[in-house]
Amino acid sequence: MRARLRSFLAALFQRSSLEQAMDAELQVHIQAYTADLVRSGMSPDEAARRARIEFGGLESIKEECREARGLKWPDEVRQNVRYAFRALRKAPGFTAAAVLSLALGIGVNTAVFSVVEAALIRPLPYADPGHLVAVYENHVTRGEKFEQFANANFLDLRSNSPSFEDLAAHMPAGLDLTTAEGAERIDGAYVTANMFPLLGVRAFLGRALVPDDGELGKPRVILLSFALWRKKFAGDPHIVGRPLAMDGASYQVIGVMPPTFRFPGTHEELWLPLRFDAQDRQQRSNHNLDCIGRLKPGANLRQAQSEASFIARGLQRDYPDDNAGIDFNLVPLRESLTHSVRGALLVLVAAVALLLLVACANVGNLILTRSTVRRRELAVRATLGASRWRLIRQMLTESLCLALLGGITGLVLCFAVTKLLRTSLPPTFMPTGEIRIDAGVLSFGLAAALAAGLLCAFSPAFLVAGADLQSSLAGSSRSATGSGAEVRTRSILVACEVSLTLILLIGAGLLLRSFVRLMDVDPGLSPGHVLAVRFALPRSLYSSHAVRLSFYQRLLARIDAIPGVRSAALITSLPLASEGGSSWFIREGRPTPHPEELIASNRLVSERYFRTLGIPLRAGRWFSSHDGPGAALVAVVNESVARRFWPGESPIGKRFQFYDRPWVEIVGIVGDVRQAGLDADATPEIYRPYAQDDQGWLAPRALAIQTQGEPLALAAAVRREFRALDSGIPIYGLTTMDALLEESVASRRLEVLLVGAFGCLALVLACIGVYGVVAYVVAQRGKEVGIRMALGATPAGVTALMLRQGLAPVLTGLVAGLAAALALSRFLSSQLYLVKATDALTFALVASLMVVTAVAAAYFPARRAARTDPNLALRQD
Amino acid sequence: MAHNIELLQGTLDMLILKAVSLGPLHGYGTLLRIRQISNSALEIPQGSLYPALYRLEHKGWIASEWGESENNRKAKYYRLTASGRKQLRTETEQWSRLSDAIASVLKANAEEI
Repeated sequence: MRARLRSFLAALFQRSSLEQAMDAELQVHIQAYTADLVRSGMSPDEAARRARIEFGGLESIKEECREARGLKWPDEVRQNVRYAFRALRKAPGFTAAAVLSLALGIGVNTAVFSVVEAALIRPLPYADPGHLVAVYENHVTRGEKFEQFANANFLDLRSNSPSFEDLAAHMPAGLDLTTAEGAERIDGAYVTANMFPLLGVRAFLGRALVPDDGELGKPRVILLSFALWRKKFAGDPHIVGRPLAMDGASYQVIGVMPPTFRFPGTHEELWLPLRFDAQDRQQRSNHNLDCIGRLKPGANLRQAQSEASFIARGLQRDYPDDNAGIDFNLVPLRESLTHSVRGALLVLVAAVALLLLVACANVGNLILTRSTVRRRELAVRATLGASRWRLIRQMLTESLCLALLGGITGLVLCFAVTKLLRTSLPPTFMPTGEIRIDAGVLSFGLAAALAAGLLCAFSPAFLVAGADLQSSLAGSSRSATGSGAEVRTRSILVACEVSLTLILLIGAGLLLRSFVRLMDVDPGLSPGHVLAVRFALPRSLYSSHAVRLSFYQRLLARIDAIPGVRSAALITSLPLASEGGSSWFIREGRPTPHPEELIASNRLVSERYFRTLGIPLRAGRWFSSHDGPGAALVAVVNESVARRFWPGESPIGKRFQFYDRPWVEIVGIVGDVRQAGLDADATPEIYRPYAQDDQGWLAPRALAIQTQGEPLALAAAVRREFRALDSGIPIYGLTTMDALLEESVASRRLEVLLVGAFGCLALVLACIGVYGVVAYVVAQRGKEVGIRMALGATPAGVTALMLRQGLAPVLTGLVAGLAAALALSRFLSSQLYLVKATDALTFALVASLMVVTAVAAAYFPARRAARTDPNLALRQD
Repeated sequence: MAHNIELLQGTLDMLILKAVSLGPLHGYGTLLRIRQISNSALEIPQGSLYPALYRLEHKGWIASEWGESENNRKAKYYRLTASGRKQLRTETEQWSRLSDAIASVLKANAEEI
């Protein structure tokens, strides 16, 4: 076996030396024989002639020798490929159309696959990532399964669960880094010091955090991301050991992480050890730790889950006040990082797969058109001895060549689309690192091209197998036997194209309608002409309430004085941006069922906040300048609070208290605002004047400014005022409310745009298919049309006849497509908003769009039939 | 040519193997040697010699290299390989079993049955 392989490979790759050797060897033979003949008395000329005759056909012997070396099929492939390319070159129009169709299908499929690879296939960039688990608190009573951990619950789970090798926690921290250029806000995180060993990642420079860093009283240390190190410290190789000023304190840099490192689920740029003091260790009421665990080798998730739940039940018994109804919830880390994008990704995959199928059907149709023209050629080859199977192999080779050309062209498209996706997709789509075109993606593209090639070749090959080639040689090119089967095959292909396109378009239509619905949602505020900016007050300098208060007043006065500012207001966190925390509260004179059930977002605002953002007052009053530090404590609630916690009565005049804070009286009700984006329901919110209760951790950190003109035009002036007050205050996230609103729907918009674009491309391809089939029928029946017209058929009648025949497959496809879409669209439900997956309007509109475009595509060739000159038609071949 | 015996299917390979087992030969030489050993009874059709040689080489039973022929020309010489030797032994055994069997059938007369 080995000898044969070796000899085959040698023959294949040293082809020219094989041929030379063969020639030489046969010549030696003939010469030797000739010499023998001459020796036996023959004249040299006669001897040479005899030798040649007796030797036999040189070429056929050589062919047999090659065959003996197993070179038959590679030779055939080579021949087929050469023949295919020659044929493709001869039909540049056909080739361009087919290659472009396939390039489109293969290109977008490969691009989307590159996203799938980055999100779902490539391993997470941590050691043994299969054992990493995201752990949440599961607040059973509130139905919230993905809540953050309270310190003590985390510590108890860590020390008691036998399935975990270790558990680590992290907590986002915005830190103000002060360098020579001034203060800047950096997203960072506190992490338990075992986090980096648990992830199994090493530092690029210096060292990562080690458990020892988590001890109380150890020096303050900090770990930088590669990007931050490059950006802020110019990649200083001696950064390790240097002190950094942050939040008014000094930290020592211990290391820089490698460029490829990204923290699970975040885009943070620096990390500090999270240290628990004795009081922190007891704390069970604030839930703000994100938790990652590593399972022991051999431990499985189900077992770990049941152990965690067992521990949770123990905690429920031991701490009924804090832990009633709290279970733990374990999710594989990758799933937890990608569950929000999985749905959108699958929709994209389905859309591009449909597009590729439509492209294949279209190319199949094109090939069919060509094989009609080439019937004579095929018949000649068949007559000359090519077997039917050989002809099928030839057609297969041609369409594979087309597909490979399409794949190569598609790669160019893929690079472009991938570039677009890389910049426009949110980072949640790439938890394992950049979207990139690597060997895996390329092989997917190749596989897609091969599959597409086979698929395209399927129907034409089928037709060749069934056709009566001899008769088509004998008869004319319009022989009836061939064209019947062909019209049928073409009709099936067009029906497929139409139904696949319809499915894709209905999906796009449903997404579009959801998006329109979403854009119609009242965000609860008027985002136009509002500039928003976030800032951070260095804790060391602004530690007291009085200092902060005076700063806020001076800031508002300065901002209000900027020309073009209508109104300015402060708030703890901006709406629409999913920011801000919640607190639980109790109502005066009412029994409290469970503290967890009375939760509202807790916001501190300045007096003119509601007016600045255009939040409507529903009852009672807004805050006024009298609601100062010394006055009675007041609050304004939103409608959700009124509805949910004071159902059937007015909350105005009622009192409540947050946790351990003083009693507060409700003085007004304002409209609901979609705090977490347009597609998230409004949640209960309580607003209070910052002047009355500012606890430092909950202090205004955002400024909203209503402007007369373009908001961003005032950005420079706003920055100037901040600098004039205190140049040590970092300001960041300067944007407009319109932009924030836009951002909250950006990924939905992208999904609609992509699926819609794929749908339109499929529609174009399907129209080409419909056009092709009608044009073909018209060409086939030219003579018949001529006869009909000679016998008195009207042009309109002829057009109608052709249309009828051309549109029959469209109707079949339409019915099949509608049925399939009805069955499939429910998989889209998770991506829809206020639109049912079987939305009748969408189905009807898309179906009519399909019919109208199909009729338009069919009309042109049909009309051409009606213009046939009977004289010409009857005389044609 | 009338005195030539038609070659049985499959025997050509065996004859070639035997011929080259007696010493390396080029293609034409193989032909001559078979003719010589068989006293001109066996004539190999020239056209089928080379495909057979290529087939045997492909199977690894013979190997080839270029050398000088008797009249100082370059020629491709074939020799038997180890696996070819084994193959020749098997084929020879099979052949003699077959020819014995056939001979005994053909020699049979009515009395012996």
